Amino acid sequence: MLNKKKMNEKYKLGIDMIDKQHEKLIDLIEKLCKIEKNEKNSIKSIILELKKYSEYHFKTEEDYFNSINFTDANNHIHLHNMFIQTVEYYYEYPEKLNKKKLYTFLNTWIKNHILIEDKKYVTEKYIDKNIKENIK
Amino acid sequence: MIESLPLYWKLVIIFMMVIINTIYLFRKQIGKSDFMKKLLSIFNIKKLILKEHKLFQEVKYLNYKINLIQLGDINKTNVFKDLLIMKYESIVKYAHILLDTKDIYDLSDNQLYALIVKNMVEIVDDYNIKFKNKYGEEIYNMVMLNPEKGFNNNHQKTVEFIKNAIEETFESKHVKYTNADKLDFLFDLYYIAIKLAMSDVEKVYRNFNGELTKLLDK
Repeated sequence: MLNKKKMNEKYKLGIDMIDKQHEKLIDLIEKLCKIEKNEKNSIKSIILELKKYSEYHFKTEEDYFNSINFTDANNHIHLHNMFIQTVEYYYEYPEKLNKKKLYTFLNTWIKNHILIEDKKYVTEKYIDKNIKENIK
Repeated sequence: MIESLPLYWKLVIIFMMVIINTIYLFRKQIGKSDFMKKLLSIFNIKKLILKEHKLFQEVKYLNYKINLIQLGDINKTNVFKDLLIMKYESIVKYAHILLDTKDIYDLSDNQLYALIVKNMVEIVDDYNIKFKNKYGEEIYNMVMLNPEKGFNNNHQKTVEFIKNAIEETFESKHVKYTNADKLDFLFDLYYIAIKLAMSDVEKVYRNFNGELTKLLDK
């Protein structure tokens, strides 16, 4: 399902640092998917790692938004909070987590976040750059 | 009365019923009686497990978290506490309605999907109406409806995410979800939405702090 091999051009934004962080996030998600349901301690420790790394990654993205004055930053940050809240919920109640939910949540996230939402700021930056160059 | 018993006791009762039913069938040499079918449907195990969901179990915990919120003076704090309580009550009320729908576990994908989307819309309408009735048009328009900074605008992304995630449970070719699985996941997302709403109200408060004071002091 989710793996590095599938981190093809479709998922890449063309911003090296952010692409590498997305790969690392997908690695963590893959690790989580491989865990057996009864390994509660392993689930908790990987969820915690996922939470910490995603917070670090979101901070990188949010700093990037500031650097390009991204107009839709507030909505995007809201989605980051949604991800963190969900990860915290399953950290608090690991018994509520199963592979079906994990797959669905993360797949929805990858599809909607990396493929749609993240591409918005890349597009905005590209359009902005082109407009400025044309004005010159 | 039965629904208020702990899960363990419910399971013991179901086990006893299965034994009685087996003896009954053995003696009568016929299929399962209508009487037993009715009894078993009362003790629908899937429904019992979903009624134990955190969304329904953690009323005290969530109310406690909401009551810790302090935003400016007491009047402003109450506006946002009320908003969160109204939202939580609407979610719980409509989640119960969804769960109590007749034959919910046997509905087709189309029927269940339509019902879930309707349920999400009803929740949003319900707490919006309650808030408008309590605080009046002006405060409602500012706090809830402001197109850029209002609560509904902030919260729209959450609603979209829940809708996308639920759609995934219907469309996924990799994972097969039962109707009970879908509802369980939906209730997880409803619970997370309440926690997220707690940080949303802080943003709304920061956006309208001064203006809200003026309206409340009117």
